Amino acid sequence: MTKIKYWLLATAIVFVFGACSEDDEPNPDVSVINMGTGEQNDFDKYLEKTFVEPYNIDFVYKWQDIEGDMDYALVPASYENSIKMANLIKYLCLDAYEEVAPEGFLKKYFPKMFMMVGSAGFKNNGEYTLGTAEGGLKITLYLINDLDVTDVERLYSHYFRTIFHEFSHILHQTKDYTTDFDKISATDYISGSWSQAWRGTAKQTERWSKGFISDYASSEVNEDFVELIAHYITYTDASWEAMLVAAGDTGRSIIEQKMAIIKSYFKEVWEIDLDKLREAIDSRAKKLDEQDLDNITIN
Amino acid sequence: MKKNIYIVLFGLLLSMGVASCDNDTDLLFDESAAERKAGANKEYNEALKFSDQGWLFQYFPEETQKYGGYNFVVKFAEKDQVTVWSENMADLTKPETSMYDVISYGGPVLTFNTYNSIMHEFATPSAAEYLAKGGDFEFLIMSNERDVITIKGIKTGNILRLTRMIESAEVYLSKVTENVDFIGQGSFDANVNGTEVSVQEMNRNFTFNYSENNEIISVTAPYIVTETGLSFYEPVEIMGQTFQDFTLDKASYQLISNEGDMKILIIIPPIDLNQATWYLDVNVETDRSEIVLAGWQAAYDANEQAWGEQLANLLVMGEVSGDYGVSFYSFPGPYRSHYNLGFGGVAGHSEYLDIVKLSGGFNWRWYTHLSVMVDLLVDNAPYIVEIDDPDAPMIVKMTSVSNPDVWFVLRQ
Repeated sequence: MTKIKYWLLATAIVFVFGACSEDDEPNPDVSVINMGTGEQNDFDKYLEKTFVEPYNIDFVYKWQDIEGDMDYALVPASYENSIKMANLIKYLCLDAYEEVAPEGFLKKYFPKMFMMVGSAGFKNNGEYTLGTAEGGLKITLYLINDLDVTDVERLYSHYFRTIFHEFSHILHQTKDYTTDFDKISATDYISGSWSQAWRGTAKQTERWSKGFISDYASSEVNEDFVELIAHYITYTDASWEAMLVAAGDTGRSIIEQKMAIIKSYFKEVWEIDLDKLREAIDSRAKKLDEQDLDNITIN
Repeated sequence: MKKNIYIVLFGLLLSMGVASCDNDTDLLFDESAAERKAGANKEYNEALKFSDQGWLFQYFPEETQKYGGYNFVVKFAEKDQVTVWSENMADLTKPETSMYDVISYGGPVLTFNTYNSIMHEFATPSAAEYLAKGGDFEFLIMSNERDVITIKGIKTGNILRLTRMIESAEVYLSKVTENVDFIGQGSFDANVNGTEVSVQEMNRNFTFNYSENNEIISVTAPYIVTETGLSFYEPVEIMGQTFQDFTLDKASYQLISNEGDMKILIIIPPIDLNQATWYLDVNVETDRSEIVLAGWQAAYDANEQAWGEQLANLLVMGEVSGDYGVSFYSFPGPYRSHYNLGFGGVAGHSEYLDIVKLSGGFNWRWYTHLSVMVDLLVDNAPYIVEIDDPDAPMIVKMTSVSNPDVWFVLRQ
């Protein structure tokens, strides 16, 4: 009887492993995801060469509802402004990092998907969303149809701080910073109240004096960390100093302590001199008007 | 017992071996589901491109069609390019080109996937209209019958039609806008099978009111203006008859139903108050009767009681900040509140102007106590209109037909 049992078992194993071997493997050349009939245009080819090949970044400018947010009424981005934004991201962000970061850094860590949305994400109270990120992988930039390439400060506030912010999240989630940073403002974070707490000019100064560079920075420690990075590299020396003066002695001291940790984190963990990155971004911003942002010619 | 179990098990295994893994099943189709989908999308794409003059797109935004319908012409071309015209364009010779695609999204979906200020007009949100006007720009393709492609808005579920154009967008849309202007100059009265039916019109929606078996019935019909007249969004039943398409007869100022027996009379008022902003100053004794002043005073008192505010002595009528009707101002602030009114003619009386209530407008929910003044204006309609200069009216005197003691003067 035992023999039969083993024989049965052996047969069963053969059946399980041998069963249903398929001869027709899926064809890797046929994508099951992109079911559009769209052809590659010049911009698509440019994106392939500029974003996909070197960095594996998917730059989505054609509306895909499946990727959109159903809570808002949104419209697609214009083709022309999407080209400008692609060139801006390359020029002001990727190329600036390339100047100071080690080989392969961007390809490995930079967010893998950008999605362009034409309008803002308006809410029913008049507020609107400028940018969202999902899991540090996908960054959605809104208001692309209102892009003004002549206003650098608006470019930073509406688009680029979102990008630098999310990228910094990826970095600290990959290799965390020292817990010394957590201790500096430990008792001052206000979680969900951040959006209401600092309304009005007087409150803005008070927020600086608490050592928070932005409203959102006061929500919790990781946001504080990445907001400081996103702001620091998009402030000039003079505007940073003016902010520190407004923050007063207490505020200045807190912000400087935090920045010292951030700078050494970048240096030691990522081999990036944050001041050099800031210089690279600033000098590029100063020459922005010399750039051909409509270019989609592949060199 | 145990032996039996093993026999059963063995039997099961044998049957697995024999029955499973039958790879010889005949496929129902020669191609995979993915290939068939891609093939279908390609076919629709070719169909869309196969029209020299493009397609007439009768577009209704918003799921209840509360803005009515608008005519677009869309012309599809190679490289995913689509050129769009609409009846709302100031200059029909300046269409806008953007991109489109046919994708699979629970079925073949036509998507206008890069921004086009003409195509996305009703879908573009703002701080004031955070959900825009509920316009679609992605459409499920329902059927293709060579000259008519039926599609369904993904957001609204509205069933819409693309009809093959046989003339240029400019020629067709010019005819439509001419009809829009003609129909838009009047108010309406309807006659179904010889019975009078009252009609109100707002935002390309007709509301028909009539009584049947002692019951007051109200039927709303969103419409779109066509080359020959107008069409309801869908067939509408009124007094047992079904209506959808109407032909405009300019000579008799009538819209005549193509099916059934209904005539919508276009009544041209002595003056189109909506063409300008008009002021009634109740402080000027010669510009209002005592009854009108008393009505305003009652509204003033109600407003003081409700909010402790002072109602301005100036009423604004006609077109006010893009709204049509009457606006009130309340101090301090000043806060504007608006009631949408319809100003129309009266059949058989070319000098009469009727005023009907449409709906509460801007801020009205806070100022419903001002209804007393709105009621006075509406309840005493129609009015005999006296105009200082019919070619360039600046002063209009309105005197109630039913009560000559109710009169007021509007000035630009």
